[in-house]
Amino acid sequence: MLGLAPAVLLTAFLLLIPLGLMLHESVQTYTPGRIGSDEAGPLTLENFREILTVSYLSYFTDTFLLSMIAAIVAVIVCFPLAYRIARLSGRRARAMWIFFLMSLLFVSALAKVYAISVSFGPVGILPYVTRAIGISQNSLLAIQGVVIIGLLHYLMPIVTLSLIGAVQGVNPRLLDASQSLGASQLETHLLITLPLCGRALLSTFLFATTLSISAFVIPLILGRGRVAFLSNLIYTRFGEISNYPSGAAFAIVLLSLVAAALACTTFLTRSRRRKAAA
Amino acid sequence: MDRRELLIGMAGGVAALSGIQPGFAEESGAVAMEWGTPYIEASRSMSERFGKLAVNFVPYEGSAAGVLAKIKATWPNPPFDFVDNWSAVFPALIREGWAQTVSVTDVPNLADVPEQLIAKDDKGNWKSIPRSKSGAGWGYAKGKSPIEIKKIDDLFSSNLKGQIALPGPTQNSGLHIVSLALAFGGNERNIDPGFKALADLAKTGNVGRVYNVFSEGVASITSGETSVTFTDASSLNTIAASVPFIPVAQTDSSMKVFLWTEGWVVLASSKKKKEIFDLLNFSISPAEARAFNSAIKASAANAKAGPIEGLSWLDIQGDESFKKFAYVPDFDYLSAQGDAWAKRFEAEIMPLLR
Repeated sequence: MLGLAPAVLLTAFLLLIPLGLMLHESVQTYTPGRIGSDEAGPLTLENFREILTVSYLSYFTDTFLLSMIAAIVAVIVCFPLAYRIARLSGRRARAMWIFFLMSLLFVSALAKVYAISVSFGPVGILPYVTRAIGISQNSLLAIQGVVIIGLLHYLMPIVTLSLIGAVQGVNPRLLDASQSLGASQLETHLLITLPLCGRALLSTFLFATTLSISAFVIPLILGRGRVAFLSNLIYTRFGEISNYPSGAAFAIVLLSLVAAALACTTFLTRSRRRKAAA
Repeated sequence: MDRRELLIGMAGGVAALSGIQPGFAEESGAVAMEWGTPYIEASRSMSERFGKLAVNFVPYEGSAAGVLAKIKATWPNPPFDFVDNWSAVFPALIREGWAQTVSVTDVPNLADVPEQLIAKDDKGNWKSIPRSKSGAGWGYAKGKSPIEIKKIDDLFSSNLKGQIALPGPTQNSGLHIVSLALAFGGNERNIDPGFKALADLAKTGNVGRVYNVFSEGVASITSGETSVTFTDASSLNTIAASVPFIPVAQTDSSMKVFLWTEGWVVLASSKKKKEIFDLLNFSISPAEARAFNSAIKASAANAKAGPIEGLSWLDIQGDESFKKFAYVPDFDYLSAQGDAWAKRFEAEIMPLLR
């Protein structure tokens, strides 16, 4: 236990102190025209009251809903890819795929976002796609779609790499045994592979959702100012209008919601596992 | 000791233990914050011609007001000695006590700059060194915009679906909202008509993008995504380099052009004030002011620098014309409205854009 002390102390300093400062800032008073909080002002919950109004509901739904959709699609699309890569017989081919996926992470996020912006902009394929499905390229649905594509582009290499390890952890003999006992490939996949990868799929989904929720540049550029995430509002508070208390309150609310969602999902999964074991 | 001091003390202790130091200005030279292209290149050239002080010009990231957060976080040891900014941000720099007082003794070329262009504190002390007069207004990409824009009502035309790139509420300190307010009977102190018009504009479906970074607005127009925007002279110049772009000026009294001053503020914390004043005095000399403002496409604040080509839309002569087509808002008042206007935009306008 003593050996863990430095790590615990370091985590406490790097995580708890900034969090404490943020929490303290979130209950400070802000005076318009000044930079940051009014240190002489009284403590207040006004910054939280302001956020928890109907006006800001769309920012919360955009942030959480689009992030979850992107994470679900990423897991669905990347799992077969990860499975294929993990089951490649040649070590070199597997290494090449992993190298390719890793290299995608090193490309500038801004360059990728602008590439998507141009590809799905008025001179790209968006007008054709929106015309084909009968919506305006200026519609909210089209913009939300492009934001999800941006999030997917960001998530896919990370999700695939995460799932490769999970698939490699499944003993291939179990799959052989299933098929030798008469199960089809599909039945084997649905009844053996998926359940064995279930925890990894769930944790990858949660990880991808969390990454998407904290995305900043993607909604900033691809959201065309009409779809904005909470991270964009936090930036505006700190970087544009210098209302640090309001920005800190947003950050605390966002962190609390993400932590609550993670805790709920973990709790539900554990209780399901306990029931199954019983 | 209160909680804040305790928390900051703990953070400081960690920083001290780990050897982390806040960013200080370079020992051998000075550090300045400057706008990106073309400003930063023009300033670097000027500094090289001066040759007596090494200056590291650091480009802005984000908005003009973004520098305030950086100074606040590091004061009294900010990582800059002097910063470029404009009329809307000078009041905040002055209010926080960060701007060094300057006089004709420190910067003799200020004698050639009209005094009304110099930012002052409550006691009348000079706090800025103006280098440019610039402005902003509505404009449209010729050939891309479905209609010619001549008056404010044109923005509401059903032919402009998705064609307007609307600046976010904090861009240019919300002058586009003031523009709408002026056209519908209000002003910066009576902004309700502006927000009502903005809500009506949002309902038309004409707003294709809301941008919070100038480069995003420029890219939106030059890529053809949108064709109408409210922009400042420098961004207009950048757009015009790619697509024919027409500033709407002196066509109708509902389309006012906003005018302001840009210039330097030397931070009171700097240890090289004398050297910096000498550099900035050189920078606003008639020849240098002319070279710099020609590069960034703005009018020189120095009256002896002469007119700059290509800025006729900002050159509104005569009291009658000025009253009809131009407007100089109360920037001190504007600088305290960012928070309220941003929240109002988020709560009232954004839902209508969905």
